[in-house]
Amino acid sequence: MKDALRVLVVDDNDVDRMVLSRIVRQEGYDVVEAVDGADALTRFRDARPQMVLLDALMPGFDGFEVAHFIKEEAGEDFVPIIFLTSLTEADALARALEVGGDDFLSKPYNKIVLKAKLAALQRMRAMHVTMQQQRDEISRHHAHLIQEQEAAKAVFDNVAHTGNLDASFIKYLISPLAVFNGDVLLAARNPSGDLYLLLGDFTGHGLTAAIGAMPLAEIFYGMTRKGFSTGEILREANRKLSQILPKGYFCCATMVAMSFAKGTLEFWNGGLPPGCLIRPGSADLVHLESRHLPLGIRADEVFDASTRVLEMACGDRLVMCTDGIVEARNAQGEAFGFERFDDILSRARSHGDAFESLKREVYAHIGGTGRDDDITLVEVTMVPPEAVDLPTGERAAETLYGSEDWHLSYELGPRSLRSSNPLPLLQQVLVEFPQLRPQAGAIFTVLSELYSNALEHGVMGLDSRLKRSASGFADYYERRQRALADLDGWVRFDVRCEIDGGAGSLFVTVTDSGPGFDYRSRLCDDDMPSQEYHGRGVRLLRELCRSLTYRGRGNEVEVMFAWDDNDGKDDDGSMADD
Amino acid sequence: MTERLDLQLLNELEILMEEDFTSLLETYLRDSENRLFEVSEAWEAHDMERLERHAHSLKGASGNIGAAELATLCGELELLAREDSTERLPGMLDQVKSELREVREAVQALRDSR
Repeated sequence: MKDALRVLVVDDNDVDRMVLSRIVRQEGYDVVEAVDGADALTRFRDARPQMVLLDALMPGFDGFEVAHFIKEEAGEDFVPIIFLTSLTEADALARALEVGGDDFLSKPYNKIVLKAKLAALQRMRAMHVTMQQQRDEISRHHAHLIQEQEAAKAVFDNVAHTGNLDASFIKYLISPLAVFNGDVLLAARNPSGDLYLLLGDFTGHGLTAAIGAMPLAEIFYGMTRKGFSTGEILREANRKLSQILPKGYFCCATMVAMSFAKGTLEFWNGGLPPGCLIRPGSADLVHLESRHLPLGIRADEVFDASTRVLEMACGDRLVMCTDGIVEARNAQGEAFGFERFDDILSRARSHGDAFESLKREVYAHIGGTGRDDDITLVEVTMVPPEAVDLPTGERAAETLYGSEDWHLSYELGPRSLRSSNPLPLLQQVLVEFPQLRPQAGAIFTVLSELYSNALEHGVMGLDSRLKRSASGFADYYERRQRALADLDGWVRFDVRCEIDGGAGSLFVTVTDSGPGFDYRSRLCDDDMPSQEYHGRGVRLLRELCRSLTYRGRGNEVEVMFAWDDNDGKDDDGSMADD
Repeated sequence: MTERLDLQLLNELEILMEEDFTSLLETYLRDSENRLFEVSEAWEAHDMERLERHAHSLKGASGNIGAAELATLCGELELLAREDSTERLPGMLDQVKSELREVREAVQALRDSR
């Protein structure tokens, strides 16, 4: 083991050097001899010995100077130096220690003592080398880990923090630490222009937390774009996360869908702090409390994806956060707390900057410590549909000219009505035709409105007048939930499409098994602007399509979309009414 | 002559040095002559630092070949030089010279016997 070790013996005294070199050599070390200080420096550089036996008093450079040089030259390597002299004076001993001497050996040399000292220093050296190697290994691992995390962060950012967040009516804050705190903020518009937003907080930190974000984001973006409902997206996300996350890992989440056209807010909260709805006209905050278990815990059969729906008027603001903000601690360890959060939002009701006040006060609370900076915060304001500066899905206005004439009939029986949503399928079919794409948003909005009318009022017989008051509004959606469980009936879509080059038309007829309604008298109601979100939303529909006709006993409605050459986008309001 | 040198130590030294033992003795003879010359010259020149250094060196070498008495005397000389004790120094220098002569004779005899 020690065969390879080289020891430099420095002594200007020939006899002493000869004796010492011999002893050291006999112990199995390689010996390099130096006759004075200058010689020692040269030989140290050339031979790189691992240990040095050094005479203190020499002409020219003395031992102290040589030791200083060697320690400098060795850098972070440990090169033990044994001073050869019976230094009896305290200041000389101190000097030897000061320049890095590790031990002393007095003359005449004693073989046993020297052997013991060499062995001890050799052990120290070996430990030092091991320590250095482990340190280097750790720092290599660390560098590797950092590199991987940076790569993962880039992927994670692309997946989790992008999407349609850069809109004038969305304010958000994702603190730098949030990279791997497992917070996810996703936003996108569905084909009818509703904003879907998902705020998630995965358990744990680090890569495990980040991994779940990938499938969650894919499900969210993919299904939102295709027009699936919030409930369906949540169910799929829960199913996927239960399947892939290890035991004990889950994702607290709030998902909201804001309809700018209808002025509604649909939400589902599983395990996150309550979202706060700030209504400038109202004294109280509305809390969107968690009523569900987080995503990734419950089996699909028992997962509850039922959402609640609230009215949300223009100017109403929804503020949501993960628990990082509530748990943010100041220097004394005191948490920011939900009361403070609530209080700031209540005070911010009248002025417009709840988000900014909250941000300011949280950072003031944390102070300069920065260690608890684990904050994800988002505020969304309800705006009129025309103020929504976000794209809806694909709007590639390809001008492919072809000729089409087809008819499609799609009827859903009771089991399908209870469990599946026909809209994504229809949407998929319709976007197959490039000529329809410029109007895809309008078509989708109209189809979903007609479908919910057919299902809720036609098949289930729910009275839309319930929605006239705010409490009835919530009540309505609870009844709908119950009615869905034991409904009986059917809804049929008849879609007829005629395309000739750049011009064409699309007729959609929706028929349900219900008793119908007295559309002749009820349609007058809908001309009253204040009631446009209840009733059958006829005003909205009329704005979106070229014609709208009720037939039969009121259980059949036909809408028509039409477009001409050079008319990529036919949603001109003046032409909507016939 | 036996009291000049620690024979037991020399015996161990011979075992250690093996074939280099005579070479070591010769080195001592040459080196000690040089040191004595340096010490004498330094005294003539009143260069106490030089005197001290060579006395120190001679002390070390003498100790290593088993000339304990000489090593002690060299130590005294080294100390006097450091303290610049010019009154007592000449006497000590004489003692060292005399002891060294005897040691050298003994070492010479030892070397010749090998």
